[in-house]
Amino acid sequence: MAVLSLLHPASMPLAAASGSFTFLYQVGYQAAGMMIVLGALGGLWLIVAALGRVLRLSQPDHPPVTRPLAASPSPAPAPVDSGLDPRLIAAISAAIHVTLKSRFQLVSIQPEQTHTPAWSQEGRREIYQSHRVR
Amino acid sequence: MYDNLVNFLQLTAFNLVTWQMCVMWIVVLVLFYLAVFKEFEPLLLVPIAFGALIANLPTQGVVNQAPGPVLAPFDARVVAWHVRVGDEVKEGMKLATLAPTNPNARDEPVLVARSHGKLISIVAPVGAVVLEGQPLTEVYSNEPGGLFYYLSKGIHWELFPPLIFLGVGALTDFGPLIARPITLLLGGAAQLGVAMTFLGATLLGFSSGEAASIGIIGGADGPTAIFTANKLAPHLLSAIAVAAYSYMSLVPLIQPPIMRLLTTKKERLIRMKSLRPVSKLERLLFAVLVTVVCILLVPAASALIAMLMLGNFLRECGVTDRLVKASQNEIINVITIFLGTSVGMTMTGEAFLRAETLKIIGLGVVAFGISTAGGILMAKVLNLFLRNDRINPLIGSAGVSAVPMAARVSHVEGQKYDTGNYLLMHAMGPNVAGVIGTAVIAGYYIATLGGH
Repeated sequence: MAVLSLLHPASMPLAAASGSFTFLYQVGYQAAGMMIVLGALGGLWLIVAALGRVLRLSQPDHPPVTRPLAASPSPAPAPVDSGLDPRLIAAISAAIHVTLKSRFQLVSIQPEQTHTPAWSQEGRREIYQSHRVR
Repeated sequence: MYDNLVNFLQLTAFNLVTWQMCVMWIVVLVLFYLAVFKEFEPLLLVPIAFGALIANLPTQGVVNQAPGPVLAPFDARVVAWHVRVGDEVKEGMKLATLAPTNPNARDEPVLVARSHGKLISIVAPVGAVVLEGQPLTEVYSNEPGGLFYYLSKGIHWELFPPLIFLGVGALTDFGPLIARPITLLLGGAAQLGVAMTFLGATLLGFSSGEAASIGIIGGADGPTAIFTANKLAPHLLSAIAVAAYSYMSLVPLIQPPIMRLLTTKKERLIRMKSLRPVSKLERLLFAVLVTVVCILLVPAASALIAMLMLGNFLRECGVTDRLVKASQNEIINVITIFLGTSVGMTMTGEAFLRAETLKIIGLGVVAFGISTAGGILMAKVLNLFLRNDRINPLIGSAGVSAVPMAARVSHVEGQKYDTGNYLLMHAMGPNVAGVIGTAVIAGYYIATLGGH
């Protein structure tokens, strides 16, 4: 009930401001504040989670394409032994395909000339570029 | 020629330099060093430091008020007038001696002119008892106030922090938070430092309003700290703003030891599941939802929440590109310059060189530490209930706002133990939740402590 009474400012006019309250009162005041913050964000969590679920149910993802892939019109070129992990080449090829959205031939793979991990660098660039102040 | 030189020297301001100004010049140099050479929040610290430099020079026509009524700065009794009707007054001239009616008040008993002009009336004669804000006398002049008198209205009238939030909203991607909304709780738990520092500040003798303003430093949210301090403890504004922005830039130094102390190696190695894509409709509904829920709950924080979510709605709706770009660039950059210099202008030697400033700086680091711990501990608690999709507790520390620095610290700390663990986007969830959480607790304080 004490927490509920604090929800409305008028129910506690200038109360804590008088400075005449005991430390125990201040502890209760802070506990109420934390409950309100956690209650607000917890409530948002439940609503957002429910909303997300409803939206996903009402707008299901497009079913995956099930038709068989056509046979390749031309045989793939023989892979060049680059000394790289085949899984890495596959991942890079997939990334290029997603980006270009067209046919391509991967000619060479060169490591970036930097001492900083590329992912970290890219993430940092994006974040810092879009959040300048604070 | 000798007379000309003497006359010129009498017009210079060397004789107006005080020892407080000299000390503040050293403070300004330290701030410049941190901002320029150490790159500690330079976008804010450079304007703040430059504003502080101007505030601690005997300037003319920069900070003087517009002529008009001179109001009582606190509840007081008029002891003596040092000027008479018809006198020409200048900025800094002693007008009257006041005796605070509150025996516990620490206010300066001298009323000083803040504008130039002619004294045209004395409203409160000697012996009169006046309340804060009541007119004491009136100064008339054809000249307007100084540049920073008008700019500082952006803080006093609480215009700048919400406008900064407009830009912040336009820059913030709430996608990670919407994809994993449970991380909202981490942003809430990180307000623990705010609450605990409030208690610590009251034990050190600060009033409730002052303690709340100091505690908000733990939220690591500069605009909210300024907004709250301006409402509840405007005399501490400069110290609180400097502490908040300095500690935000020190997040990479403050947080990691606490993160290591409160987590096990096994916990630091937790890999979180990839975040699901979030639709445009979800993002728009989220902005509206947060606006409605937070304003209904804490209307005192309406200005901050409303502008934050307006900026975000502009960003996510996809049809207001020009407004988004203006919010993300021109508006936030211009306001940042004005806000920073206006905050710096409050750093006069008399206001800053006090024991309270050292206490605030000390309490600020405590607030940051406890807020960091609060987020981490909440993640550990949640993991007790989450079996399949556990949270790496390192992202809990990002619940202090400090966007995006705190999220990056979580990511870097995680990569020290697993180079393939990318926590950055996961940490952005609690990071932006912290912005909302700090605004909510600030609204709670303002509502209950009677901010005007």
